[in-house]
Amino acid sequence: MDRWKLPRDPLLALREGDPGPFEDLVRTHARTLVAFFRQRGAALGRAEDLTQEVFLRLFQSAGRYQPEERFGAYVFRVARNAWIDECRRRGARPEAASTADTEDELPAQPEDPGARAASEEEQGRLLALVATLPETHRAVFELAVLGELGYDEIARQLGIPEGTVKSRMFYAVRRLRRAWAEGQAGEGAA
Amino acid sequence: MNPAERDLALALEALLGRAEARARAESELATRPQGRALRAELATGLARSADELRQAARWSEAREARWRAQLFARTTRRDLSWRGDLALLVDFLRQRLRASPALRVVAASLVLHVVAAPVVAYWILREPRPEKRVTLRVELPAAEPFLPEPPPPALPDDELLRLARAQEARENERARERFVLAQSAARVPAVEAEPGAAPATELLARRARALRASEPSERAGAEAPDWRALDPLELALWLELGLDQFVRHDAAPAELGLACARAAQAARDLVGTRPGTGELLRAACARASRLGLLASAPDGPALLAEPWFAALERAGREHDLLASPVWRAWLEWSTKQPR
Repeated sequence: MDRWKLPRDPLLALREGDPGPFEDLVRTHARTLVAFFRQRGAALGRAEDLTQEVFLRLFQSAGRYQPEERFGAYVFRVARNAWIDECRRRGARPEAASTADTEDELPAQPEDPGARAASEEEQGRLLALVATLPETHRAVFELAVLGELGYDEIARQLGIPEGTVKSRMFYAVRRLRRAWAEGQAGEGAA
Repeated sequence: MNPAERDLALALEALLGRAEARARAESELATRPQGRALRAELATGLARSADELRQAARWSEAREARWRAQLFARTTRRDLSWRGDLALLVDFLRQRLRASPALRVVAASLVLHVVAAPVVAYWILREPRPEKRVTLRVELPAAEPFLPEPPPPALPDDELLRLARAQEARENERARERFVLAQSAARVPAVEAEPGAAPATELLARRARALRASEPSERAGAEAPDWRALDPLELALWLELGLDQFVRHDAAPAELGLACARAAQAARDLVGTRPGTGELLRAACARASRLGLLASAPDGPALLAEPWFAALERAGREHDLLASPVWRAWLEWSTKQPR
């Protein structure tokens, strides 16, 4: 879990006139942010727009940026604010995730049909399990997994006590592990 | 919390806790039989979950590349020229249109007006096409019977031809005489009548003076004396003088032509008086006839031909005028005429 360990702070580099780290950040983490917004219920096109908005905000804030927290946490704080603004614009009703706009944009699939089916099945099962989590637990789990944020960072993002974060994360992971183990046992029995 | 749950909590603390808490959890996990394995399994599971969540976004690489290019174009690789400004403006308008349904309605209305206005203007301002129509008109019967216009009296073809040839002959004769007079102008004797000279001599000198002039006299006809008061010799010389003027004018005055025609008619009646004078009268009448001023006349010599000078000498002798310098100059000129 060290995807957000960056060799150089992208915004400080931008301020010094070097756009390379910022472009590397876009290349390596744009997909993570799109996934974040997709998990929140945005359609793919909307998730792209929101991700672009996040990077634009980051780019425009480079001049006044002060590295007061870990860069990954800062990025996800900007992303959460963008999502909150989006919900306000849309009357606080997150749109349902739609696959209609992605049918012709499916990612490259494994060549082996059997392996592809098994991979899709596993992926689908894990996502289905995540989707069964309560919204409060799921928010903590996603920030920990996608943003690789620590307890304290998640607590600041969500505005809740750190103990609450630990509790929600614990119950989310325990529930997923049990459900996953039961699923594996069911498959073995079958 | 049972021991397994305690281990899970410690493993999570080791992964997500603060630095000091993480260190404590790591050391405590190290004392448990499955502690390190559980931590590693949890780390792998979280990383795998992150990958699968990213995969679940169903974001193709091609689409990601396009998106990334757009983002770079707006950030690190932004065009600072006027194209970049234009792109910013277009992006701004696009965002505003996307955000406001009312603005979209206004924009659509504006586009509709811009597109429709020229079409409507064309339909209003274009020229109407001529319509095909059939007109039926019924005329009331005329009160008087229809009488066709009588055709003009037909002239026989040979008569028309004769008139045309006569006209052509007159034009040819007039052109020929004009040429002869022009050729003679330089050789005409330059002599004036002495005071008290006979009227015939005066007329002869006057003709010489008129021939030497570069332009014909406009008042030749008006200056013509009353031909009824002239004797036959004077009438013959006056007629020659008038005919000279008539020929040299491009558009001779009508009164000159009329005076010449009447004088020619009178001269024709005097042809048989005295031999010399009669010859001069005959020559003048023949000349008037060739020019179309006299209907019928006896034949006569051509203009300033040798027979005319011979007749002039006889006429001068008949009237005792040969001693006059004017007559002698004219007769001497006759000997120098080209034959």
